Amino acid sequence: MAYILPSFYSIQSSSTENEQTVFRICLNDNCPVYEGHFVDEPVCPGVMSIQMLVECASRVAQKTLYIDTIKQCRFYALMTPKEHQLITAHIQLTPQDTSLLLSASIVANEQTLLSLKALLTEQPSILS
Amino acid sequence: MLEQQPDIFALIPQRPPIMMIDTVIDASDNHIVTQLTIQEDNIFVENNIFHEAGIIEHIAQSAAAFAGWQTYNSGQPPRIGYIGEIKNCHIHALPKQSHQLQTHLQLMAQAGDVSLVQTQTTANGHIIADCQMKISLKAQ
Amino acid sequence: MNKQELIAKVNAVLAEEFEVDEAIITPEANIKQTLELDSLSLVDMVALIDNEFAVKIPTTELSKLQTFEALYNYLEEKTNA
Repeated sequence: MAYILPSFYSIQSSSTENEQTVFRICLNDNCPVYEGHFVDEPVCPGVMSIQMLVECASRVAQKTLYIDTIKQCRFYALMTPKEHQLITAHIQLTPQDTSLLLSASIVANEQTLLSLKALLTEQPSILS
Repeated sequence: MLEQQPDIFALIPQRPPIMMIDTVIDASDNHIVTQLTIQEDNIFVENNIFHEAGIIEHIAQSAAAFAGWQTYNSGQPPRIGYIGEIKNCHIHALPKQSHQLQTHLQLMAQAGDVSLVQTQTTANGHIIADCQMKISLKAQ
Repeated sequence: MNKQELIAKVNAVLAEEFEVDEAIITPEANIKQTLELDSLSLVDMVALIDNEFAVKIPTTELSKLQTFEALYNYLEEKTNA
């Protein structure tokens, strides 16, 4: 399984209960992305939080998954590497006809920062 | 089409390694057209393929560029914007390194500092993504 | 469209979009509280009004439309102009 963003986060542990897996994650405030997002004000890029959830889902499914559709993704509060060093990612995957429905959220300091509903696929179309 | 393309560094607050727009080729009060050529060292490229997160970041920065365009001629620095919501974002295909992305963004509605935009992205002329997004501008 | 029809349509489209019972939409009720709108969903209301009534509510006017009655009056003025 291949993952991008290796320096953005690291998984400390995970546990599964009632079809939901919770990943305990450490954000890395030295990630080079913060040089540009934003200068003098590090903020986790929303798309990287989404990708992190997709990668956690890939671990649960034990195969590399790709985004087919984001049905809805809501950002409730900014996530920053300084304020949110430890976060939890909550992952629930439900098989659909030809895809997997991901319901996921990121929680930190008892606050939900992000909620995501997306359809994931094992076989994305690649433009030739 | 704009006669003179604006300086992208004056339109968006993002900087390398996460600048996902090269140029703005058209813009108005309610739309913008942006371009990005996918380079080898783009952080969202892996095994020659440009991943979904990169497409979505390019779309989000197109929204940032649209916000920046509204104040471009005032000489003010571009305001930082955050993605508030993404809805019905369909990724039809993943482009590859060296492909040129183009995003057409249309402003649908605005309420205070929150803008609702609808976008369509092509890669070398093929539609690869449609998306609806809400962007909140940081208070000045 | 007369005012009664306008009011009926506004209530119907808002109730459907924001998934509330039409019965709680009363003229003196506060829009944001009744529809549970936050800053992100307020823009959905602006988009909906534009789609359904072809009226764009500028941000400067939006802050003045606190109650449904204010919205009805605003739309009546803009659609009969």
